[in-house]
Amino acid sequence: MEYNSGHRLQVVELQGDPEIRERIQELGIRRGSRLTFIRRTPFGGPYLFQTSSTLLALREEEMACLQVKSI
Amino acid sequence: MSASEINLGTVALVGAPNSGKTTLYNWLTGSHAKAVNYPGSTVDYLKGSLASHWRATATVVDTPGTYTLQAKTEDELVTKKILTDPQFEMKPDRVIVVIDGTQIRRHLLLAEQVRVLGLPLVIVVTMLDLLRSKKLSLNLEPLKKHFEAPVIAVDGRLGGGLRELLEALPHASAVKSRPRYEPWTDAELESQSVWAEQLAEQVLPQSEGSLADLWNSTLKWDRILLHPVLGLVLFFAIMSTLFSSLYFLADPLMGAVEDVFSWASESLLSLNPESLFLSFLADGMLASFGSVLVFVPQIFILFVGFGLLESSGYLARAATLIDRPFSFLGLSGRSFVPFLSGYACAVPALMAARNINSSRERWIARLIIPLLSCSARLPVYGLLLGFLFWGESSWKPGLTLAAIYLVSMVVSALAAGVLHRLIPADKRSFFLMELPLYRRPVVKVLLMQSWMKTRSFITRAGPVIFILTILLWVGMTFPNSQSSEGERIQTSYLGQVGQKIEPVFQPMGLDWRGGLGLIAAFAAREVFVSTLAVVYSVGEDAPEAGLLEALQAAQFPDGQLVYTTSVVWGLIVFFMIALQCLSTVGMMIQESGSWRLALLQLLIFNLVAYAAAVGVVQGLRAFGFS
Repeated sequence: MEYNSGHRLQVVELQGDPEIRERIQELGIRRGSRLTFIRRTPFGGPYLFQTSSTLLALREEEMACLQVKSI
Repeated sequence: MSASEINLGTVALVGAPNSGKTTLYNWLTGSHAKAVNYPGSTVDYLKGSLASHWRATATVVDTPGTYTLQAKTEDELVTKKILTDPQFEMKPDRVIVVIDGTQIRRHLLLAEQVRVLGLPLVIVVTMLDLLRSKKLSLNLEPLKKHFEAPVIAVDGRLGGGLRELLEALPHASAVKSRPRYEPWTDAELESQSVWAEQLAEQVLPQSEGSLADLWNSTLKWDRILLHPVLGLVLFFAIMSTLFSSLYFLADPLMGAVEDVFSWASESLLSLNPESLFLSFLADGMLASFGSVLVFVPQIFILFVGFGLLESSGYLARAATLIDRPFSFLGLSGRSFVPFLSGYACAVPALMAARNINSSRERWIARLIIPLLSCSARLPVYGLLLGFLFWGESSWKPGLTLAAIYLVSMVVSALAAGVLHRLIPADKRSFFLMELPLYRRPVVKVLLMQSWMKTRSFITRAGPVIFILTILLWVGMTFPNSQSSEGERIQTSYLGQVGQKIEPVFQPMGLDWRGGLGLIAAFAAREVFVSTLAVVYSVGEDAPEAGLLEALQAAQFPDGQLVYTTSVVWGLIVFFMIALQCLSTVGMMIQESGSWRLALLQLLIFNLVAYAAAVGVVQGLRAFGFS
């Protein structure tokens, strides 16, 4: 999955590994949260997203725990 | 302490990483602190007394930063245990929950989990300076009402609000009903998140836009610092600076420590060269003491550098940038700094490995670090390459040295790959992290923390290194402690052992004197050079060319030359792999908490090194090299 920088997304559902799901919520993302895609780091590294209060880096498999839609 | 002073007991500071918790700790204790190890873990927390000008007594505990009491890492587990374990001797009487004023919504989740524990509570909201810069003002009433506790806003930069905090602490009281702490389910976590959002909206109404504005300059910096090309260039520039300061900045300081100790030991010996007691004091005690203190400059510089990167917000970016390449080794970007430090010295690198949050990764790092080409190997490589390229132009040994570093990197990567497959997967391993706002580090806090960690090295790893070094000295000095240096070493217990086990060194092409050099090198690798100088009967102060000539002339009893091309290559390979450093072993015992594991590592590394060296020597000979 690849977005342009500044692309806006909304979290539809959290899925997958319960521990990662829990940490995602502790870092301030829940169902309905809005995210702005910033960029992906080189060599296929973590994705960077801006949330309403912070900047998060997620690996591809952690990203897979977020079911998102474009807004 | 005057009679009128109030005793507040143990006060624990709890908060998320980057919440301003440690800055608050520094204000409260006036930077008097001790790093304490939580029993049964490698996690340190800071403990200190309330500064005297606060006119109250308390033990202040700075718990490791956590987002939650539903702990997922070793650090977070320690914070949870400090708050909930009835057995813990420092069980807090009062808790200060630190909430970053720009992150209220998220940090309320932890505050709510702590509230439920029923401990007397004070809530501190930090980052007032940032809120003021956006003309935001806090409405603390909804927080006071919900938590039934004092809520104080504190300016961590200037110290505003601290007096109110001290006045509020005695009034913190336990809530009457004490509901037991139960981990939240997914659904509860979601409903708590919604609740936290609503409460945060009351505390800072309509602040979302202004808070997002705080990120503007950070996002601008990140456009450069996380750029696919420029970001990587700057990453390497910043890491090279950290590494070279470990290497070059520490070097004169380490030299100074060594000079002071050798001066002191020479002055002692000159009082009465015959006295065994003075020799014990000088060569045994002082030298061992020096072998601990010599690491202090490097460790301090490493922690200052590490702290600068961490508190400025860059470390999280660096970990993100390098995460993918490191993931092939079963590691994450967080392991980068320990690995880099390993190229200077394994001892501070093992300390830096504490900051890796996955225990599996921490093990891989600890096991691999001794393989990295540390600075103590350089004098040995220098001698051996000088031998191989005797009288040839200097680019040849230079290029070979670079090749040695490259091969050692490949060997470490291979070893990491093997461990990655051997150590069972750890389900508690994730990368997911926040990249905090870029902020100017608070120098005072930075220096205080670096010094705490350095002191924790001296008091913990120090004794082990000290004892091991003394034992080595005993082995190399007795029973003929009164003889001349060369004779004393040759006839010493370890010298005798070296001669007895000469057949062991023979497949490497070495005589017993070379073998003794390898044994002595356990004090520190560079001791190999000075020991060879002694056992091949060259004065210790002789120029290196003298030693090279002595090595070239060294013969077995049957007249065959000892040091041939194949033997020297074998030695290079041996030093690349072997764990010849008692300080590293001492540090491993300390960090892993297991003698057996440290000794197993020692055994395996040296057996593999031995096998590789024998393979190289015999292989080269089979191909017709001398």
